[in-house]
Amino acid sequence: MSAPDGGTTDEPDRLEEFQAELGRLRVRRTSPSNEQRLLLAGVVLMPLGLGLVLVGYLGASGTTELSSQVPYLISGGLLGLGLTVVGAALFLRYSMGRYLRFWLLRLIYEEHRTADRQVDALERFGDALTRDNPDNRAATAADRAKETHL
Amino acid sequence: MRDPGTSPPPVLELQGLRAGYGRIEVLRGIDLVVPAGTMVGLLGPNGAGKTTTLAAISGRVRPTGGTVRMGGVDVTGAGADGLARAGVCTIPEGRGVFPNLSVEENLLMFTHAGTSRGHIREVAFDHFPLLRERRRLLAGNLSGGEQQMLALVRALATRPALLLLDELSMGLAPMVVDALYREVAAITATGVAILVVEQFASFVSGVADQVAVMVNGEIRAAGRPDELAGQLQGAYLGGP
Repeated sequence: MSAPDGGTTDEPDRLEEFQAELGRLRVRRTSPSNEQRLLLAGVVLMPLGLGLVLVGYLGASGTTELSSQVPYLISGGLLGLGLTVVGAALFLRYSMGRYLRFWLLRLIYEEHRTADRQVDALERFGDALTRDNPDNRAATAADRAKETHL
Repeated sequence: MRDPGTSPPPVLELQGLRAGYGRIEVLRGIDLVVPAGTMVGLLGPNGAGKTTTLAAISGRVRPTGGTVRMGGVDVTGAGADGLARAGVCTIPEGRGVFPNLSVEENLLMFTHAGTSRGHIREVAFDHFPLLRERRRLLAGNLSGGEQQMLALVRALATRPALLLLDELSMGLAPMVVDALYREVAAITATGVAILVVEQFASFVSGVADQVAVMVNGEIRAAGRPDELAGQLQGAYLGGP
């Protein structure tokens, strides 16, 4: 669908300015599958982190020398804990986000439906009042009589 | 500089635009063109996806498919702040004024596009003298029509390239709506492209160059308002 071109003006070409500004925009070509990827990353990182913690425990418990235990503590314990926390955060963020988005949409939809029903009810009420009011019926009959005379 | 022999690209072009909220797809492949200096009306019943279309164009909702081009530049996925700075002005349903700020303070907020406060006040009070009388009142205490006038100042004073209007007529008397649409139509003379979303075809048919009817996330009919006059009921309700 298209329409005829609009008129041009003597002002500096706004369309060219607009194009120049848009050309400077940084456009992130993301897709919603990024959300799924991050959710999956969270699901993977949690057991991976726990696994590293377990490996760290097994390694540290296999030796009595502190200098050998520290690397296990850092790479297994701290790193594993960090990955678990990050994974849990990603999982919570993206799974809760989808649920809350759907819940909000549902609320908005119900609100619109309620408003539509209220408007219908008010209109029916108004019509019923107009129909049943004897003054209105008399006035309508008088108007019709005047029209006939004219 | 553009070659004067070539026609300029449309200010807005949607090709197969898809968007939604999570798994709920609202827009199912929208094609729409808005050239410079024209007004296009997007009509349709409640829930058709008209507001979502504006949200996808202005960057508030990220498209899931298709493209959004502005001035020939692919801006699909661009953020709302960048598009607003570039010249996309949105006047949302419900006016979008700051209700706890005075009229004068709201006008001050419109300087974000680099326009001076003096110029904004001049444009606002020349077009809408009523706003001068009400300039110290809180915007939330204005009537619906006055709030809409205040919102339109943003479109008049900040030199947008693309103006997106959502339900200008909401809650307003027909006479007020007609006056506002006349002001909006006058903006096209400066080369601004306008896409106006409206539920009531009668308000837009007299001023728009083209209209498109949207139902259930799809464009069902498009053309000049006089061409579509007989088809609107069918397009809304799905009949012949």
